Amino acid sequence: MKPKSYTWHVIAAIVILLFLSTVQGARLSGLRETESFYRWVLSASLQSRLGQTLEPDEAPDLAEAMDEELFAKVLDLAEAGLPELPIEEDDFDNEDNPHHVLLRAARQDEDKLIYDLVASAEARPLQDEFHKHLANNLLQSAGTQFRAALLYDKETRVEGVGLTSLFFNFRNFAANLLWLQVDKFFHRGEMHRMLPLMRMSVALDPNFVDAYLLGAWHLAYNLTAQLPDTPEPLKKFHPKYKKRLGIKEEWYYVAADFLKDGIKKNPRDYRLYFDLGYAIYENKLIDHAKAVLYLTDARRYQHDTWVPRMLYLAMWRNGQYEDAIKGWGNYLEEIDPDSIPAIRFIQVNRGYLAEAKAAQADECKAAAQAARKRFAELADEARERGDLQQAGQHESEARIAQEVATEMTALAEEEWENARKIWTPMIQMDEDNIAIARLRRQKAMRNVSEGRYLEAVAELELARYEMLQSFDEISDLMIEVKQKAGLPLTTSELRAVERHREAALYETEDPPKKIRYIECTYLDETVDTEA
Amino acid sequence: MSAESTAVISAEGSRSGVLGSYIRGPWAIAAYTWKEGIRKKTLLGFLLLSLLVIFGSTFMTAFMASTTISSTTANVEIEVEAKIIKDICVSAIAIFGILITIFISASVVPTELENKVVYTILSKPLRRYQYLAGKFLGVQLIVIANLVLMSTLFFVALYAKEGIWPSLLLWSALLTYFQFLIVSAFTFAVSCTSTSSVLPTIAGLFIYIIGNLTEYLQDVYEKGVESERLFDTMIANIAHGLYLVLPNLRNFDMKDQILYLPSNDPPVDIMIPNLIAYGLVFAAVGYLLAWVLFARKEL
Amino acid sequence: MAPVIEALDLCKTYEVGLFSSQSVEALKDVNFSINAGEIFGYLGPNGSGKTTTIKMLLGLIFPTSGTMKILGREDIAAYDIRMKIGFLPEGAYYPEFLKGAEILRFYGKLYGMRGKALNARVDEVLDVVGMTHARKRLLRGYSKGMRQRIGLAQALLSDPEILILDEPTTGLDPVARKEMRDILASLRDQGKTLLISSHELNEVELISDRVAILDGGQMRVTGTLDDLLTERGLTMVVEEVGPEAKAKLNAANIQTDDEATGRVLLRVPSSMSTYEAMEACKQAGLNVTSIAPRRETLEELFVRTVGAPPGEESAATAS
Repeated sequence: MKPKSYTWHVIAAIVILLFLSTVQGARLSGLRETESFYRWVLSASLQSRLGQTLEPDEAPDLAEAMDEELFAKVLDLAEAGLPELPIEEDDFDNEDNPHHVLLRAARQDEDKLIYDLVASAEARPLQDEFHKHLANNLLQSAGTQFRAALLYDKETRVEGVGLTSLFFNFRNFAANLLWLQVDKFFHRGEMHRMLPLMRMSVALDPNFVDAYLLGAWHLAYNLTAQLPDTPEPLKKFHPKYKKRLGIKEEWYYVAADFLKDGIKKNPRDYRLYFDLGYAIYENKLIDHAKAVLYLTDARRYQHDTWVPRMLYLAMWRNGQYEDAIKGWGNYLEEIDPDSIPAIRFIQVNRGYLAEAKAAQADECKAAAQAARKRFAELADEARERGDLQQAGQHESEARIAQEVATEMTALAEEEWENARKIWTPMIQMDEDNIAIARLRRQKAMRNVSEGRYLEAVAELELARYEMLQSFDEISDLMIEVKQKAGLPLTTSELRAVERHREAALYETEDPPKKIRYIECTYLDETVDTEA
Repeated sequence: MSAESTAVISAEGSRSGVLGSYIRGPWAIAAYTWKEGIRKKTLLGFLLLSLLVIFGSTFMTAFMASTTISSTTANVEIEVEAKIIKDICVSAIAIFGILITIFISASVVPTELENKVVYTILSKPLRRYQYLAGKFLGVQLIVIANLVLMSTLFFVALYAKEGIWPSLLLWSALLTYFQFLIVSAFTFAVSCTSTSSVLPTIAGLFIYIIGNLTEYLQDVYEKGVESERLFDTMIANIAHGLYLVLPNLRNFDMKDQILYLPSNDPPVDIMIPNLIAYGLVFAAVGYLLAWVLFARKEL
Repeated sequence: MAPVIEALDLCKTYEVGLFSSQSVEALKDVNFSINAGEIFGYLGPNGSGKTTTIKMLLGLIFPTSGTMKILGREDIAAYDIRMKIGFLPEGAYYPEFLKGAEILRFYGKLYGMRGKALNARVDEVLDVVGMTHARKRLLRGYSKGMRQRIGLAQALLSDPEILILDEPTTGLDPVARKEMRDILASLRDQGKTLLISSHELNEVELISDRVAILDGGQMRVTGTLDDLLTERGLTMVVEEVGPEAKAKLNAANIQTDDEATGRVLLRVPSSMSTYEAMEACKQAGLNVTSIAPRRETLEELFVRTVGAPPGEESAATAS
């Protein structure tokens, strides 16, 4: 009897297993493809909130970008396929419309739902489309995080060097080394050499969030610190940003774009949103509304405690006093019950709210008085024509306007008084500089209304040094008062006037809408008749 | 084993059970391989080197930080350091881990052929495949032990720097192991044809490199099928066939993703069991290949 | 009774080179059989094919043609057959980081033994090979003889019926050889069958019951020592032999040998009786100083069959 040999059985087993491994390999590639599609959907959804288009609108060679089209299809699928999700407090866009369901799912961390949606059979054609576009470089919102081959195709163009072939995690190493070089350039002051290396560094390691943060900081702060301000006539219109920009501003936007690229690749890292909102929009571009938008997102994801504080400050600056009061209230309840800034800024916001109401009431009063005057004139005209019925109608309208004006006068008085009641104890207890400044400003306004202009200017002078945050605002007010009183302007004030005049010439955008705390039909009507 | 021999063995009294005797022999060999393996000087050297690098990464970044620190973003700088530590550790584990894996997988069988221990072992009531199973298991024990040691140090380094419990590291280490398992299995198979460990070591390195480059084949395929020329499409199809059959180690990139993605944006965990299955299938192929190659080998 | 080990027309041909058709015949039609309870000396110069045969018996290599039977069965790799074979390879290495008892426990586990039974058996075999004193010492500190004994011990672990020993005494000092011989003899006395390969003939001669001589892969002689070493006769030592006397002796079929000054060794063929030999010497006028009965040594047989004593011409015969 010969010893039995199992060689052929084993070879058969190997063949079967190789077949299985092929099946499993195909399955894994499928899963990886689904995962990149899922990541793109997640990232694109989160970006859609920022009001950003997925496709950059300049750069002529990107005319064929398919991002928006594909995302619209995904959205259609999501509307049908995702279950109803609750609409949370900050799930609204600038126009107060609730976010689409995909974005809500992404923001509410319903990753499983989104994954199941994009992995479903219905999403299959979309997924194929995604990969086809990705392979053909038609997706501008997808970077190296989805397809390493893009490294030498598109992002860095290192001729003849297959950077994808780096393993042992050497890609990250290369990114780190590039970053150290960036740092060296920074210390040598060779700022202009930093940007290409920064871009390459983050292309190699798309998850290098610190590089995005530091890079944007270098661009927006350190680089621009050496640049001069651009006079208004020399600024150029940038179609991409729809703004006239000087050299400094251009770099602010480059920094913002750099951070936005980081958000594209790390859509849930709060630090990127925070720096974009606070460091760039709030502090450099002075766009409080955008700052609030980004900081709201930063608060949405796992964050540090300073994030909500900065958000509430941005809300205050943006005139969202009620939101800020609510936010600080939550902060006291949930994060730090002894927070002194929270207690202080609740008061500050209340004071501002009262002042805003008072100012709006004053505005309304003026509008109502103007309306009364116009209705009285109309009534007179009608009476002269002999149309008594018409005259009576106008007279009653004038009476109503008079009533509103009286009501508004009382309201304004009351709100000014409320504000005073908030500021005074703050001054008495802590000599709070904001309270002092606001009270002086209020006094100045009263002086103006009583015709005592010099006193008003003196109060404002004291106020603006008390509260440097609103130095510019109060200075502008001073100019206004002086012009009204016919007082001579200082040289710097003359320059400021000139600057404003030039800026107004080139103004391309409507000024941001003010939040109305007082309902006033006359203000809206006036707008209507003028239009 | 025939029924008759079972009877003989159970009659011996001190030996029990068919299954037991099937497992006990390989297990004894695995334990012996482990004891021998952890004494190998090359492996010890690699391990020490990797531990040095992982441990040293903390100092390295401390050194670098002097150039990067800036007052306004001090909190960010510390995180750059943490990232560099992470990168160094991931690379150290990848490099030294795979080297240790390849060296040990390539040498266990050839060394025994060289010093003739295999004669005393294979003349015992033990099939060749059982011997191989024992050796393979022993190799895996060593690889796992090394990985555990390196990961622990990495864990400590991360914990010391970030102060958070990097629990995802466990998953990453697990996937890293299954990647090593594939390379180990094929290197082991090659080593069964050789009487010296040099050739299988080189082969192992090649297996690792090829496994990492299989995605290139897919690029070749994508470019080739667009072409009109017959030759190009032929090359493309060959590339595609190879792509399907060869193990794609890039599938395990998720092990790094786990470490680098923020904790609120985790990778999809459905991959993990699939990757494990992938590793196991290829490990079985490697082991069976070793079986075939070793079954009729003249020792 | 059926032979314990039987080889029939064993052939082993190695192909040299990848594509060339050059082949080397390591074994050619080797036949032998070993009976129960005997010590079988398997002899031959280095490279004659002894180790090849032994490896085949253990299933480490495979014959090109021919069959082997162990205990009457052809499936020599079967578990129960393996349980009954103990093997001591030539010049094997034993892991130095283990202690004597540990290495034996390891081998014991390969036999499926475990626990107390294993420990007891390890102690037993250590006692058999006389290594009890060194059981807790690392192999690193062992002498060559001690290692060889540990090797023998591992072969004995399963209390096998058959022991296959490849060059068991090589490299040992005379005392160790003597001890090894004694152990082997006592094993035979316990009823075990031993196959001992060696190129050290006097060692084997001292204990073997039967021998086979292998050369260049071919079996030259096989049989019991009694059958093989047939040439018996007398040796006589005489003083001075002149050419005349020499011619006379030669005529009487007596050969002269070992001619030293003052004495000459005479070999008397077995056919001649003592008396006849004495007579022949007398006629030649020689003075006989001593007479002794003579039996042929294995070495002489070896030289007779192979052509040169092992070791001296080994390189030449190896090819």
